[in-house]
This record gives sequence, C-alpha cells and structure tokens, in this order.
Amino acid sequence: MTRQSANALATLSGVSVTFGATRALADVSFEVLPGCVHILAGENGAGKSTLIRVLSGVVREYTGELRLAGKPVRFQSARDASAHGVATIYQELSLIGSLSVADNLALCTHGGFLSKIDRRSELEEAKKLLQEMALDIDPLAPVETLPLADRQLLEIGRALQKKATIFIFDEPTSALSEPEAERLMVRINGLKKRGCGIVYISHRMEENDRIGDHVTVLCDGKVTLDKPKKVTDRAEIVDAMMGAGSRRALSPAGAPQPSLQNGPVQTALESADERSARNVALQVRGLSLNVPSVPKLCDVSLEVFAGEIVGIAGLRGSGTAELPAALFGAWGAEARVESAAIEGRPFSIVSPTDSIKAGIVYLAADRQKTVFYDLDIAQNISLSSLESVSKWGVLRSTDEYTLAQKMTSLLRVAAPSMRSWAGSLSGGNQQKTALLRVVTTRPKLLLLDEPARGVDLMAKADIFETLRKVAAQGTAVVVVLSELKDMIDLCDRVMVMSRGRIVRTLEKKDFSLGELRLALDDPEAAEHRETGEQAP
Amino acid sequence: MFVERLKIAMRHSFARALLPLLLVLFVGLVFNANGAFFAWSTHRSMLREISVHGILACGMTVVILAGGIDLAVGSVLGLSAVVFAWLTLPFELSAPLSLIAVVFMGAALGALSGGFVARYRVQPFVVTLAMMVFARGLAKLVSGGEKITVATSLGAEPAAPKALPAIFRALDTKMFGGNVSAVTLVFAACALATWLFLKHLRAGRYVYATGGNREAAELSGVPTSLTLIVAYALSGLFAAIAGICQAAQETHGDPETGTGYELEAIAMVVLGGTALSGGRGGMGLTLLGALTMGYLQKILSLNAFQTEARLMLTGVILLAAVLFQKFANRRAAT
Amino acid sequence: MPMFPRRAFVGTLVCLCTLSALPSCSSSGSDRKRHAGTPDDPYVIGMSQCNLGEPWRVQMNADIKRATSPYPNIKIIFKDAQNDSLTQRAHVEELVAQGIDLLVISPKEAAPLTQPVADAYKKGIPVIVLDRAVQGEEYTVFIGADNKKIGREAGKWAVKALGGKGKIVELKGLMTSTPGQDRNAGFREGLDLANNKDIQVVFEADMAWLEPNARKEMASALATQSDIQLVYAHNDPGAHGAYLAAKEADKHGAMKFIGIDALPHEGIRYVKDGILDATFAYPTGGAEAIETAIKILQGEKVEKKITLGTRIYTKENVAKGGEEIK
Repeated sequence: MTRQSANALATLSGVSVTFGATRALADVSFEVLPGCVHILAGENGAGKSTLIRVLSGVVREYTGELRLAGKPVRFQSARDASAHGVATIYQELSLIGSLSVADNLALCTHGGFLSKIDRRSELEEAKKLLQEMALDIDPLAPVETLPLADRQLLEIGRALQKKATIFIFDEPTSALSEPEAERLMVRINGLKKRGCGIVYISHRMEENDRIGDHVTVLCDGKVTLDKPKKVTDRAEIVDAMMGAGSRRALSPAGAPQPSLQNGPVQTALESADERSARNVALQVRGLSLNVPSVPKLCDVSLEVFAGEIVGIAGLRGSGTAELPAALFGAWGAEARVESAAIEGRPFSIVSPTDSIKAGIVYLAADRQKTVFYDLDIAQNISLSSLESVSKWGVLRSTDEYTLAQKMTSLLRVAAPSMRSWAGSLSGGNQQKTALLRVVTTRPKLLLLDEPARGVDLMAKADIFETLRKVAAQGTAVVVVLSELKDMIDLCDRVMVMSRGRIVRTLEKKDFSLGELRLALDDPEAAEHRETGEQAP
Repeated sequence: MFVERLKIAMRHSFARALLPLLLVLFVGLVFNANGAFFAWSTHRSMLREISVHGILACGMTVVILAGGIDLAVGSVLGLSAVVFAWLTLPFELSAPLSLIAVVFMGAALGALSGGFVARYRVQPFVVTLAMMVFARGLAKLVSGGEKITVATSLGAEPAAPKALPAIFRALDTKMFGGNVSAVTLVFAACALATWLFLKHLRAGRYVYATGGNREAAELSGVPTSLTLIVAYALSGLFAAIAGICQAAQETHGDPETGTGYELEAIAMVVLGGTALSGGRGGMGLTLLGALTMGYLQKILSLNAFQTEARLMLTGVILLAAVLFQKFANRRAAT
Repeated sequence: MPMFPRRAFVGTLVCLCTLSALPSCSSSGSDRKRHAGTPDDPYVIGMSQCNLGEPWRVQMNADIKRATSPYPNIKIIFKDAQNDSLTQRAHVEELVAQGIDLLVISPKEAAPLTQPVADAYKKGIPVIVLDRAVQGEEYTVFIGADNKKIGREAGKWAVKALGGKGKIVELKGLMTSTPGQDRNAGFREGLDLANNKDIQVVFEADMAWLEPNARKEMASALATQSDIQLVYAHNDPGAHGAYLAAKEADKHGAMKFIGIDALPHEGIRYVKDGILDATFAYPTGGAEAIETAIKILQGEKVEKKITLGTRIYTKENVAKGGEEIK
C-alpha cells in the first residue's frame, strides 16, 4: 500500500507504535510532499499525535521506516529531527520569555558553549528575518511581551532560519483570535510557496477546508482516508474519523458496556419533563471570565439537576477547561457571576474553600494539581474531608484507614497497601485516587475536567462506573470530556461550548456521534440554530 | 497489617537518616579521646549543646515541610533572649508572665513572616531574610547594644547586681540525678510536640499537603494561607523558646547571640532527609539529623581538631551524608 | 500674588547658600577655616567607628562621650560603619566634607582606609588612629593597646597563681585574627614553659570569641582531661562560658579562670561575683584619644605612637578599681 512519490520530503511506510498494551499506530504510511499542506484529522486518541511524534523524533520506539528525501533515517532525539529540517510548532512554545526576540533567534544557532556573542550581527540577522516574515516587532523586545500569534510566527521564523523543510503544526490556531489566525494562514501559504512540506492538525474544519491540499484521516491508529482535498468532502472525512465504529456509535445508547448493564441506575433517555421534577442542584446565571483581558467565558448560564451527569464538549480554547474551574471558584474574583445557587441556596463563587463548604468539588485535568505524590493513598483520599476522620483537630489514623478502605471498595486502586505513596502508583491509579478524594466529600456538585485522560480502557470504565454510582446517590456531575464516544457513554445531557459560550444543549435522545461531531465542527451554525435571535 | 505496612514505608527514609548517625558514632568509637567518648557526661553535654539548635530545627522542620524556609530563627532567638532577660532582670516581671510574653512575641513575628509568604506570595527566602535583619536590629535596639545582665538597670545609672532569678537556674540545671540537662528536656518536649502536630493534627496534614503541592492543596480545599501562617508562627514560637534557653544558659541576654544558628537548624533538618522542596520528611528524621550534627561536632571538639580542619570536615561530611541519602533514595525507588 | 516674591526670595536664598557652600567644600590645603573652640563655636571632632556590634566598641564610644562631657567647646559626630570598610571610607570623606577639626578613627582594616585617612591628614585635619593601625605615616597619632603585652601579663599571673605547677586550658579567640594571635603568643611568653616545666597547656581550642562555643569546648576539655587547674580565655565571655561548663561538671571550685577585656558589665562584674579570678583590661583608648585631641587642638606637640597600659582586676583589688600595669 506504500505509494512512493519521487519528490517526497518525508515518507513513513508501515509504521507501527505500541505503548504497553495499546497499539497507537498500526501499519501507517504517510507522505509529506513539497509545497503541500497535509491535513491530519481524527478523533482524540486516533493516533495523530503519535504520528507527528514519530516524525519529529520524540517517539523513537517504532517499527517501519522513515525516509527523509528518499534516505532512511532514524532520529535519536527531537533535537536530531530539527537538525534534519523537521520543525514542530507546538502549542507550548519553545521560546524563552525573558530573552529578547533577537536573542531567541540567535540561541543555539551557531558557535560553541563559550564562543563570543556578536550582538550587532545577531541583531542584523533578526531584523532581516523579521522583515522577511513581514513581522512588525522590535527585535529587542522580550518575547514574553509579544502576543501569542507573534510568538508563534517567530517560532516559524526560527525554524526557517534553521533551514527547516518540514513544518508540523499541532492545533496552532486554538488559542488565536480570528485576525491572528488569518495571519498564520497567510504565513503557511508562504511556506508552501517556498516548497516546504506542511503537516497541519486542527479541529476547525473551515481552516482545513481553506488551506488543505491533502487529507489523511486516522482512526484507532489506522489510516481510514488518504485523498487529495479536492476529491473528498466533509461528510466523507467525518465518516472516516468515526471509522468502523461509526455505524455502531450512531445508535443513541452507544456501545453497551458491561458496567452499564449492572449499573445501579438508568438515567438514559430521561426527558426534560421528567428531569424538571427533580431538584435543581446548581443554577448559575451570567458567569463571565476574562483572563487577563481575553474573554474565556461569556455570560454562561446553566442548570444542573441532582443525579444528572452533564457533559461539556468543545474544542480546545472554547472555554471547556475554564468552566468547571470557574464554577469552583478557582479563578477567584476574576470570575464574575450574576447569580449562583446550590440546591436553591445562593452562594458566591469566590474561593475553593468556600465552594467545598457549599458542597462543590472540582477535579482538574492535570494530575499535578490533583494528586499529592508525597502522601499515601489513604491520606490522599481523606485530605478534602479530614473533618470526618478527626475530632478537635486530632486525626484518627484508624478512621482514616477505614474510610480509605470503604472508598476503595467503591473504586479499586491497585497498590500494595493503603499506605503506599501516591507517587509510586501508575497514572490510572493516581487518577482513581484523586477521584476518590473528591467523591469522599459527598459533594452536591462534582466538577470534573477530563477525569479519564491518559488512563487505560479498564480504568476508564471503572471511573465512569463510579461516576454513575455517585450520580445515582443524588450528586450532580458536570464533566468535560474530549472523546465523543465517552460523552455518549456517560452523559445524560451534553452542552457544547464555543468561544466561551454554551451554544447548544443536546438531550440524550439526540445523541449520536455524527450530531456531536457536527455540533463541534460547526458551533457557529449550531449557535445560529439554537439562539438565532441573539447571534452576534 | 496496617502497622506492618507503616513500618515498611517508614523503614527506608528512617534507615537512610540513621546510617550517617551510625557512621558518625563509629568514628566516635575509633577516635574516643582516651575513652572520653564513652562517659555519659560527654553524651549529656552533647545533648545540651544541640538542644538550642534542635529546638530551632523543630520549627524549621514544619516550615520546610510546608515548602518554605525560615532564615529569621537565629535573629528571633537573639531578640527573644534579650527581651526575656530584660523582662526578668531589670524589669523584674514574674517568670511565667515573661515566658508567655516572649513566646507570644516569637509566634507573632513568625506569623508576620508567614502572612507575607501566604498572602502576598513573596518568596519565603526574601521575607524571612528581611525578618532576620529586622529582628536583629530590634534586639540591638532593646538592649542598647549591650548584654542584658543582672546588673543592667532601667535607668542610666548602673544598678547593684541582683541575684539570678530561679527560672534561669532552673533551665540550666541537670535533672534525673544529674544525667540530663533541663534544656535537653525542653528540646525533647518541643520535638514531641512537633511530632504530634505533624502526625496527628489536621493542621499537620495540611502542612504536608501545602508543601507537597500548594496549588493542588488549594484546589482540594486545604486552607493553605492559614497553614503557612501557622507553620511560620510555630517556627517563631520555637525560636522564642530557644532564645529563652539560650539566655538562661548564658545568664544574660546577648543581642548578638544566635547569629548563624538558622544554618545549623537547616543543616539538621536536611541531614535528616527532609526535602527542602517540601512535603516530604518529618520530625523523627530531624531528630536523627540533630544527633548526627551534635555527635559530629562533639567528636571533633573532643579530639581538639583545629578550627580549619573542623570547618572543612563538617562541610565534607554534610555533603557526603546528603549525597548518600540521595543515592539510597534512588536505589529504593527503582 | 504676595506669595510669589516670598517664594522667590527663599529660592534665591537657597541658591546663594549652595553657591557659598561650594567653594568651602572644594577648598583644600592648610588654609581651611577652623572652629574657634569656644562654647558658641565648638571644635568638631569626627569619630568613625568601624562596628558597634561588639560591646567593647560600644564601650569605646561611651568612653569618648564621657571624656568629652566636661568640655562644652567640643562637639562629637559619631559614625558607625557596621563592619564595612567601604562604608567607613565614605564616612571619613563625609566627615571631612562637613568641616571637622579633628578625626578620630578606629579602622576596620588597614589597607582600604589608609588612603582616605591620608587624604584627610593632607588637608590639614589632625587624625588620631585608635586600636587598629593604618599603613604609612600619614596620620597624627596612633593610640593602641598591646595585646601581646596583655597576654604576657596574663601568663605571668597564671604562673604565679598556680605556684609554678599545673594544667592549663586555653580558649582562643579567632586564630585568624591579630588580637587572637597576639593574646596567644603573649600568653605563651608569659608562661615561659621552657623554665616552668611543671606547667602544661593540656587543651586548646578556637571558640571564635563566642560564649556558647567556649562552653562547648570547655565541656570537651573536661571530658578528656582531669585536674584542670586554670582556664585562660581570650575574652571574658569565653571565660564565663568555660566557668559555666565547669560548674555543670561540678569542677569549678578547683579551677581558676582568667579573661581579657574587663568591661564594666562583663569581666569586672564577673570578678566581683567571684566567677573569674582575674581579668585584664584591654583599654578602649577612648579617654586617651580625647585627651590627646585637646592637646593637638591647643597646638601642643604629641608623640606619634601612644601604647596603652593595662589594668588587672582581681578579687582583692576590684573594689578599688583594679591595679594599673605599666
């Protein structure tokens, strides 16, 4: 199936990558041609990032072959790859904020460790490059003072300076405003004209439509579509992204999982009328967040009922990560709200401490913010509810231990003992420990950001099962998920976000991957449909 | 089962801290200075000598576990010694009242540092450095640059020397048939209190959580600001107790006393194996670190090493012990 | 409107004052204007102290103040350099700019302060250097005590007190400092071990002038040595620390303790309280400096170097104010 163009800048043929038991890429072939923008599409976890990591030298354990301009290579490191002309423009930029533009451009370009710095020629070079890039910025300004878009363009400039021929963009526009993204598009077109090969990943379909020359779709680690852009359309791409599972998943209940069958409660297909008979757990009106001057959330209002699991869907940068944190009060006074009530009692969203007292808990997506590596499992689990295992401020060690055991019977944490350090656990077990910590507080409202990110399928099933049980006991759950299949599995309702607003709410009966996918890809259209009268 | 597991978990870090101590003790056996190392009085005086530093190390342990550092303890010790001497000697306040006042002052100064660290997120190094200079200045101001002794008077005219108050003698006596110094008991009490605080109080758990990961602690509902303030207040409180002990042992309040003691206290904590990055370690480890430091200095002193050699040897042994812990730690992890 | 002329007037005044002050600052040589030395126009003496962290230096300033108090025609400006040579250098320059009639300086270090002192001297300001010397000859008079001599006296006294036989512990200051070295060398000269073969220094250790250290080292000495009969410490706090250690071991009764410095609140009181057996004064020279300053200002000739004697304070003579040793 390998198709070998003579002029290809890079060719991957029959590449497979396995991480433990999961196969991230299975016999994938991929080509980067000069003067061509390759769109790489696929759901989260389909293998897009693994593919570009192979190409950029981050992943080195793979089978198959990588050729650069016809010659087989095997990169030793990311640095090695960039020396070979493969430049990756990540979301997390690799520029040093405190150094000036010129210093950043000159960094590591020439000279040894102790060689003298020629400031004047560095400055000249920087000016030349900025002119070439049509960037109107002061070469002596510290990089941290520049807007994100300029920094991204600067990164491209630096790669150009290093004579890069292949450019990989991973979600470059997700944090950019419309005009900024426009500038980036122009720049990418410029690269194309120079004969560079471009690999482009974006969730924004309209961008792909505009700049793409060739589309490659991955699903479950396999290439499901590989065509020039001209001869395909959106429907075909969406179809390919869902792969073989698309027909299965289009049925509303999703693929039945063992956990669902013996689950304690079935809230599936509950209608809005039935729900309104239950208690409103959370009611928020007019929640806005501007950080530092960029609107992250604009006038968000939502209602969540007791015992309900509400999914929040949206592209990166659409406000999905900020919403639960803001509801929890983690943004402090930066978040403004017209009114908020928990079980009918008004409360102010100010600080995490107050929120926890009011019965709201939050689990961040980043494990660095949720797991205490130096504490043991029992101590992690009890940390947010120490009142229940202490008297007059004195901890009762045995109570703590019993509590931890009770909680781990709900969700099993694989470890030699309750007294093992959390730092010694695997990622999935750390995630479970963190989840148990927030669940232990018996919250009225549970806010979760990607509770199953980076865990294996078994752990994910366990975690979802636990969330169902918690909801069945009357806790309202708001959960941000990036994988649509998970959304269908777990949630009773899904709210779709775009540009800091909730633009659509889907009831369980309306769930289908296709529907969700379209709602995500075209949130603007969805917004028009939903709230036509107040569209911008 | 639970106790067994706890022991297994404890074993590694405790053993790592125990090994340098055993090594130093072994050196003591070899260089025993004609058997002087085997006399109980040698151990008694070693325990007395580490007591003041050790009391500082108790507070330092809490602060370091909470992810901070307190450079002000030496100066707060000096200030407390001066204020305590001033209150009891020329001012002739009763001992219990003086004790309460000085301990309260120490805790308040510590809380002030903690407040700046917690509320304004200023680097603890900077805040406590400022407090260190400030407290030393205050000590000199209160004392007028001179030692506060039994002959110090409130007015300009020198007073006739008075008898030393009972509290001074009580803190510098030996107890249990002359086998243990009183200050050593004070140190033991402080260590026990710190251990209880860290191990068995909710606040202690919050100290570990805050030091291990402040952001996560905040998101978990831990009152991190209060925790930090309490940690620094405890450090100040222990510094005040140490200052009182110092004054009692010197029989006067010297505004210069305690200079450099903060480093000694930090060394004890680190030598025990408590991580400077916070969140990992404990009072038991610090106790071992204190004993290691104490024995090391005692052995060097007994054998009348030259100062030059002593300083260099102390540096080398400190670094070796810390490196050793690091390697042992890595091996245990894999 | 009436405000304006007034403001202008004040402004002009300030300008004039500044202008008139300028030439007086820049004028150099021996034609500088002196104060008359009357109570209305008193002599101004600048006193640059290197560091007020030590009680002994606090005492020096106090001695100077006390020695000046009978003279209404002398005004003193004190500066404390807080143990920083560069600060002290700046202080000397400031004092010269202020138009002092005489400079008293107790320098932190010789080398960095030699030049500013010489500059002041060349401008015709008499300079009295106290305690520590500067290099060269460009000052008026040096007043200092002799640590070696004091050490020697302590050594002789120790031999006498021991009756020519016994074990001695020496607790040294900082052996990297000149006073520490001199107090050690002088003491050994005074002991004259070659002729007093029954006297032994059995333990010596550096205690860095600090009382807690001295106590610690003495505890070690007591643990390793029996029959210690005399402790010589390079300062009184050191001797006091040693006494406390001996008392803790219940051996203080059989020992004699000697210290140096004899400050009223420290050494002399310790002798009065029976803690120390002897202390030797290390005079601050404050009073002598003022005496010499008055002589210089009145035009009298003075010697280039004045070496101060010491006083010994023992149980017997402490009530009478000690006994002078020339």
